[in-house]
Amino acid sequence: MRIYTYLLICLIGLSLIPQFSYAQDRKKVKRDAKNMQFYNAVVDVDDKSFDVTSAPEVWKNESYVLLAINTYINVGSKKGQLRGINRKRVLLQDQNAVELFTEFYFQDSETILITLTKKNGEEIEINTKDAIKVTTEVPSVYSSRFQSSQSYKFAIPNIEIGDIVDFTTIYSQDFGGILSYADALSDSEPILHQNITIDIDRKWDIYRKTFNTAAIFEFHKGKGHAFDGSPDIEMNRFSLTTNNLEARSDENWENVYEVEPIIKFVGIAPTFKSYFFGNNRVRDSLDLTAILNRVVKNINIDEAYYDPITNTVLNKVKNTVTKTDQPKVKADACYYYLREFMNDGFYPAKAIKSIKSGTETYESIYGDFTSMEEMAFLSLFTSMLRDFKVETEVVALLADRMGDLSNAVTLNELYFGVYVPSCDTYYWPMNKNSTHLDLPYEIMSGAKGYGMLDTKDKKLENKPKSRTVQPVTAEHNKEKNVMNFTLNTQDYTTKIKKQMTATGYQKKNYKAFIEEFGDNMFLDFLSMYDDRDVKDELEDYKTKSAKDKKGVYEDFVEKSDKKMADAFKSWIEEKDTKTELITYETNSSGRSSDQPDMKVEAEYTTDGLLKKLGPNLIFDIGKNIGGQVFIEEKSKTDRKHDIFMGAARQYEYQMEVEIPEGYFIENIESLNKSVTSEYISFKSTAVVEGNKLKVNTYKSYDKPNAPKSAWNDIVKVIDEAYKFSQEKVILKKKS
Amino acid sequence: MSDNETFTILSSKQKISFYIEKKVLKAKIETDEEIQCNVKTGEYFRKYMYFDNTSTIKDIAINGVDIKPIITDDFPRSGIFHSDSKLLYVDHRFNTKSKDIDIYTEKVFDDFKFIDLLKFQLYAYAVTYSEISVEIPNWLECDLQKFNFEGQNITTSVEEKSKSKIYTFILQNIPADLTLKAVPDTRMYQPHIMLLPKKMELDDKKVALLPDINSLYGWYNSLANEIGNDRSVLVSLVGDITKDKTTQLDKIKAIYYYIQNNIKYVAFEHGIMGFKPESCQNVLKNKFGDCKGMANLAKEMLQIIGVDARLTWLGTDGSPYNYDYPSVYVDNHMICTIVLDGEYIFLDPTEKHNDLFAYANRIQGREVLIQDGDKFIKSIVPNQDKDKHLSQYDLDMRMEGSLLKGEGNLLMKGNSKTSYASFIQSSGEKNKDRAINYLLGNNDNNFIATTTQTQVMPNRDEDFHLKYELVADNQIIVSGQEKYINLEFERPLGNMVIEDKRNCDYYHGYKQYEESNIHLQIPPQHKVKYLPPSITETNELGSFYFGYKVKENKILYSKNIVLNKTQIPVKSFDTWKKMIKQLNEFYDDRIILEVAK
Repeated sequence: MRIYTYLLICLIGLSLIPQFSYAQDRKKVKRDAKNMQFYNAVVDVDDKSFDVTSAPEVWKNESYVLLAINTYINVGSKKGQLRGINRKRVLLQDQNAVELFTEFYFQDSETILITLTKKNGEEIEINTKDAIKVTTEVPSVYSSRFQSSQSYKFAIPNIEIGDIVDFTTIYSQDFGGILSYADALSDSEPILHQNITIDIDRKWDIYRKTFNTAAIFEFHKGKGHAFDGSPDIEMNRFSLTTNNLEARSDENWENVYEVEPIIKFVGIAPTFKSYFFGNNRVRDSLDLTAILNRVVKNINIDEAYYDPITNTVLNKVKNTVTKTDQPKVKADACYYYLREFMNDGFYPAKAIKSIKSGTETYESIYGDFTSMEEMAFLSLFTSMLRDFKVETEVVALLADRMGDLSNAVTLNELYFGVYVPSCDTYYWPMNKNSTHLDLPYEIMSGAKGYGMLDTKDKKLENKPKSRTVQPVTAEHNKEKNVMNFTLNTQDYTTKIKKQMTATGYQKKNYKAFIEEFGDNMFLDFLSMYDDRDVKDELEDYKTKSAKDKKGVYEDFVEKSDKKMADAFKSWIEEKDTKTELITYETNSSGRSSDQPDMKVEAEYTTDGLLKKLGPNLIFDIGKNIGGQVFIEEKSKTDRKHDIFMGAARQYEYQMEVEIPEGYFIENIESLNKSVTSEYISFKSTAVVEGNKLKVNTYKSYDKPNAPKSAWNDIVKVIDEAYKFSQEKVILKKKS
Repeated sequence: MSDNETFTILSSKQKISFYIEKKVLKAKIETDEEIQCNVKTGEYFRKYMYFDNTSTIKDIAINGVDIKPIITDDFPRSGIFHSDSKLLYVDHRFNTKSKDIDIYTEKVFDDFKFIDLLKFQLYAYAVTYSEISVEIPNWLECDLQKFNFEGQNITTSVEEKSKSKIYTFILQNIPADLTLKAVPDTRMYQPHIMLLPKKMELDDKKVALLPDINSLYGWYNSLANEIGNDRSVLVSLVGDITKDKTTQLDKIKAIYYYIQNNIKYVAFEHGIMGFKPESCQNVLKNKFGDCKGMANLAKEMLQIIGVDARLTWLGTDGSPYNYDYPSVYVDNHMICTIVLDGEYIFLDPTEKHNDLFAYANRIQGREVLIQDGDKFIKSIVPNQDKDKHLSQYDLDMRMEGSLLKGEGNLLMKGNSKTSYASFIQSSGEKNKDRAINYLLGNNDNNFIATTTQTQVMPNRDEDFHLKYELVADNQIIVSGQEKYINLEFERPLGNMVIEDKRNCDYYHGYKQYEESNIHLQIPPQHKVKYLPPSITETNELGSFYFGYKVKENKILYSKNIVLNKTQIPVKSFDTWKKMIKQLNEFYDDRIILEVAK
C-alpha cells in the first residue's frame, strides 16, 4: 500500500477508452452532458464552504491554500460503473502558485468545470476547448484522480495573485466490484475545509477507518444517490469532514502512519464478498482467517507448470534433502535453490501465466497480494515442502509500522510468506525487495499476523495461529568496509583498496553490484521477454552449438560484469573529482546459502582526497565513511513526532592510511569520538602506528523507532557522525 | 564500451531533392542507413525523426519492409507549452540472429523555409561513412551554406547533369558523442549544411523565395502586420500604470516592469504561431504570452505613451547563425527595441526581474533585426561590462573556537541580482530563510547564513544590498601549534573542468563578474605562517585575481573574476585548463596560523 497513492480503484476488466482529438469528439459531448446532469443532481450548489474567499492569517506565507475540497464517489448502484466528482477551491497567494495554476491539467475521461474568481469578486468561467494533449508528467496537484486516460492541458488566462481557482472534475469509469481507497487527508499546502462523501450500495460490505484524526466516516442509511444522481434509499452514504488541516509535516524520520491524518475505505460488492471474507466478519477490517483459509485451500499447483519449473530445483536439492531429517535443512535447500533459479525479477513467465489463466488460485484472492510473484512463490515453495514432508504455515502479516493488525483495511496491505513451525523460520517471496535471503522484508521486521497450516486434512480444525516476526536487530544488518589508502605525493592522487562486506538488509543498498548470471539465468532472462523476436532468439540460442553459444553467453556476462563495475564506479565517484577504477570483483553476491554475505572488492584511484597545502598535505579522511545525515539547526528542537529510523543496522569502517615518507601526523584527537544513546551510537578511534594512521568508525542504529523524547540524544549522535565526515588530517612535512 | 558504442552507423546516406507541386517548391530527404549492433545480446535501436505541420514522414522501412511507427504528438520541447513538433519513432530489436539492418526513410517538406539542417551525424553513435547529396535542379537557385567544416576531412564533389547539379559531401569515421557536461547546441560544433533556396523558375518566370535577408524580414514583417492589434484596450491600463510617472524613462520602466510582473511566459509555437505574435489585447487578457506576444504587447503599450518601440528578432546566445543567412533557423526569440534619443534600449519582457538597462546574457552581443516599416535595421545588442552585472561581497570573519564567524555585505547588480531574485521568488515566502541560507551558505551544511534584513527581494532599479551573518564550521584544522584555515567557501569556476577528450566548446551560458573581500581577524597570540601564493591571470576569456595579503591585524583574501564569455572555445582549452588547475590547487591550499611562542 502506498499511502500517497490517492485513489486506488480496482478496475476489473477496464476497457481502454478510445482516444480522439479533444475538441472534436462527439461521444465526449454526450458524456459531458450526462456528467453535468449527474453533477447538478448530486452536488450541493449551496455548499457554503465553497463560498470562502480568504485564508486564515497564519497561512499567509503558503504558496496557496486549499480553501475547500470535496471528493464524491458513487459506486454500486450501477453494475460495473463508478462515478466521481472532485472539486477544489484554491486561493493563490504567490507568483509560484500563479505559475502552477496557469498551466492546468485534466484527463480525457473527465468533464471539467473551472471558475476563476478575481480579487474583486468577478467570476470567470474558463473554457477548455483549446486544451492540448500532454506527453509529459502531470503536476501532482492535478493527479488525485484516475490516471487511466490521456491527459490534456491548457493555459488559464488572466490569473493573478489573490485569485481563486475553483475547479471540478466529473468522471465515470468502468469498475469492478471492489473500491479500495487509502489517502492522506493532508496535502503539501494547508486545507481549510475538506469533505469526502461515498455513496455506495447498501448490499456492499464496507470497511472504514481513520487514523491520526478525530474525523470519522459518518454513516447515513439510505441517504445516498443512485448512479443517475437521484436519491435512492438502496444507497447508503458515508461522509467525512475535516477542517483546518496544516500542510504535511516535513520532520526528518517520520512514520507517516503515525503522523498524517489517514483514511482507509473499502467497499466490496456481494459478488466479490466470498472471495475475501467468507460469511462471518469478525472485526472492522479484513478477515485474515477467511483469507488464509482461501489461500491454503488454493495451493493446488498445476502440474503443467509445477513440474518443469521445479524439476531443476528438485534435482538440485534432492541430494541435500534426502540426507537429512531436519526440516530447516530441507526448507533452506528448497528456498535457496528456488531462489537461485527464480532470482530477482526472474519469475518464470510460464508460472505467472499459469496462475493468471489457471484455476482460481490467483484470481480469487489477488486483492491481498502485492504481486503475482508472491502467489507464485507461495504455491511453489509450499508444494515443494509438502513433497518433502515439511509442515508449513501460510502467514499473512501487517507491517509493524502500520500498528495494530486491525489497521489493515484496504487491499494490498498484507504481506504473505511461509512459516515452518518446526524450525521457527519464515521464508519470504523473492521479489525486488528481497536481496537478503535470511531475513524478512525490511517492512516485515516485527510484523504481526496469523499463520495457517497447509493441510489437506478436512477433519482438522484449521485455526489460524497468532504469529509475530522476530524483529531484526542491528547485528543482522551490517556493512563493513576495510580500506587501505596509499598517497601519491607527486600527483596528489590516492590509491584505495576497498573490501566491503554487507549482510542482511545492507545488501539491498548494493543490489547493482551483484548481478550475476548462470547459464540458466541467461535463458530465463531471455524468456522474460514475450515478443516474437525474443522467442525466436531463445529458440535460436537453444539450437546453437556450444561453440556458437559461447560468444553470446560471454557477451551477456561481459555486459553484466561491466554493468556491475559501472555501478560501483558511479557509487564511488564524486562530483568534480577524477576516479579511475583499476579492478572490481563481486566475490559473493550474498544470495547463496553457503555465502550469505555480500562481498565486493575493488581497487581505484581518486584525486579527491589528498591536496597540497603549503609545504604540507591535507587528507580528507572523514568523507570515506560516506554521506552522513545532517540535521538542520531549526529541526534540532521542538520535535513533534516519534522517530522512525528504518531498520536497525550497523556501519563499520576500518581505514588504514600509509603516511608517505617524509611526512608525519599530529593532533588526531578530533578523530576520536564516542557518543551513544539507547537508540543510536557513533564511535571512532584513531591512532598512528609507525607509518600508518589507523582509523576505525562504528555507527549503529540499534532500534528502528524511538520516542520523540529521545530526539536530543539522537541528534547528538547524528551531529557527531556528521562532524567526523568533515574531518581532515594534516600530513606535515618533516623539517 | 560506452552506451554510444552499442551501435555503429556503418553507412548513412541522405539524398535531398527538390520538386514543384501546385506551384509550390517542396523538398524531399531520403535517408538510407545501415546500422550495426556491436553486442550479441538483445538491444533496441530506436530510429526517431521529428516533424511538424510543414513536413511529413512519407515512408519508413526496415530491411525493405514498411513498418508502422509510433508518433508522439506535441512532443515536449524545453520551455515550450505547445508546439506542433511531433516525434516519430520505431524500435528495432537486434537479437542473436540479427545482422546489420537497413533503415530507409523519406521525409517531405511542404514549405521550403523549414527544410531540415543537413547533419552528417544523426544519432550520438559513431558513423563510419556519412554522405549527404543535394540535387539542385537547374530551375532552382539554392545556396548550400556550410557550417563547422573547418578542420573536418569532408570530401566535396559536384556532378553536373543535364537538368541539375548534384553536390555530394562525404565525412567518414565520425566518433560517437562523448558524455560531457556543458555541451553547446550541436549546431555550434557539428559540421552541417543549411539549404537556402533563393529563386526558382516557374512558368518561365523567376520567382523569389528567400533570396536575402530583406525577403526573410519581409515575411516576418508581413506576419507582424497581420497581428490585428487593438491598442485601444490598452490605453486605460497604460494611463493607470504611468499616471504617477513624470519622465518618459520612468513611464517606460513602469510599462516594462508591469509586463514582467503580470504577464507569464507561456510559449506557443504551433504552426504559424511559431513566427506570428499574438495580439496585444489577447496577451493582456490572458495574462500570458510567448516572447513574441510579450514583445508585441510591450511595443503597443510603449507606443501609446509616444515611445518609438519596435519588434525585434534575434537568435539567442548559443546559436551559430547571424543575419548573413536568410533562414528561419537564425532566430529563436523576439524582444522589443526602444529608440530613445537616438539610442537603442533592448527590452526582453520574458525576463522577470531585470532592470531596463541590464540585458540578459543570452541576448548580449547578438545580432538583431529591428522592425523599420518595410525595411529593417540590423544592429547588435551591446555586450555589457562588469559594472552592470557585478556581484560583490565583503565579509569580516573572526575565529571563535572551532568556528569562523562573521558579518557580510553583499551587493548585486544586473544579472547577478536577477538570478538571486528568481531563486528567492521561486522558493516562496515560507522558505525564504532556507533560500538565503542555501545561497549565502553555498549549499554546504558547514555554513549557516542568516539575515535580519526584512527586504530580501531586490528592486529592479536599485543595486541590491544584503547584510547577513555567516557561521562556518569545519573550516579550521588544528595540528600541533598550527591552525589551517580555509577562507574559500565557494570555489568559483573551480568545477569548470575541461575533460581531456572534449572536442566541442564548453558552454556554461553565463558571464561572471565577482569581486569579493574576506577579512580574517588574526587572533591574539597568533602569527601568519603561510599564505597561499596569489594567482593573477588575464587572457582572452577575462581576467582573474585571487590572493591573500596581511593588512594590519587582518588577513585579506580578495577575489576578482571577470569572465566575459558564455563559453570556453576549443582554442582556449589549454589556457583554461591550466588556469583552472592552478585555481583548484589554490582553493585546496589554506592559510596557516601559528601560535606565537
